[in-house]
Amino acid sequence: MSRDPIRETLAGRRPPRLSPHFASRLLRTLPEPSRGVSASTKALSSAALLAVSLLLALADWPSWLSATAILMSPLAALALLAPARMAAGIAAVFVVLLREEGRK
Amino acid sequence: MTVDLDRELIATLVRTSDAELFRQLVEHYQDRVFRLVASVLGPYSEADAEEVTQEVFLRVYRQLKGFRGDSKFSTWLYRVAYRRALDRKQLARHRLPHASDEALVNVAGADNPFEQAARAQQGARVAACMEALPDLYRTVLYLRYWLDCPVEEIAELIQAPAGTVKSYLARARQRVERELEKSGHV
Repeated sequence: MSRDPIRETLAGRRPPRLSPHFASRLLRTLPEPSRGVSASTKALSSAALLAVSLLLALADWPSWLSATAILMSPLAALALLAPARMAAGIAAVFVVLLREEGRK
Repeated sequence: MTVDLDRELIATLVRTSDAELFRQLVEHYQDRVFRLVASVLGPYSEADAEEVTQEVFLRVYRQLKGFRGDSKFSTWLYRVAYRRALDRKQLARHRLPHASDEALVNVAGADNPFEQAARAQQGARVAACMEALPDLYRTVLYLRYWLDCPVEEIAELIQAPAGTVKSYLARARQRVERELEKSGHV
């Protein structure tokens, strides 16, 4: 019998090797990074909000609505930080204000 | 022996999850992680080793944000690899409770059928004894005698001093030899 049965038993098994393109294949399976709103989309939406707010402020609207619109301008600028939520918030405020105006 | 990647690179990777930095990390550690995983799974489940290695890196990538740097990155990585490999080993045990049959096929260098049969029998018995060892003993045994890893690398992979690795190896060998003696194979 063998003097070193462990070595003899294991010597017959060739050590496995990692396939040469392991890293490349692995990288293809990586989860996509979360896709936030792109910088250009943020800039465009903020610019659009600013423009709308300023137009409303300059239009011949009741003074309180113009004042609100003027207040909205810096808020629209803040939309750069969270454009979707900010745009939704501003739109909601305008809808409420316009409905109120419509009732009068 | 230190093989840790630059701390700055790890810190940037943790912050950004940048795929190119992750590639550098994978290429740096892939062979060691693979050897550790293969040594846990053993010579009779090596087909699973690459798959588990891939799972380890994917898990690490997903959990990068959770790495606070309290320990070395490699320590965390090897711990994840060892746990994942043990989980797979448990599954494999349920599916394939006996590795001895495969060991029988693997008889090299025998001159005649009688010697071949004797070697096959011994190989199967030794394989069964090694598979019955505690996880850590079996892992160091496979790392040393199957994958031919130096003691220093084994120490790094199982996060233990080199002296402890030598002691594990000696105890693992003693256990296997004792079991073989009991069954009259030595």
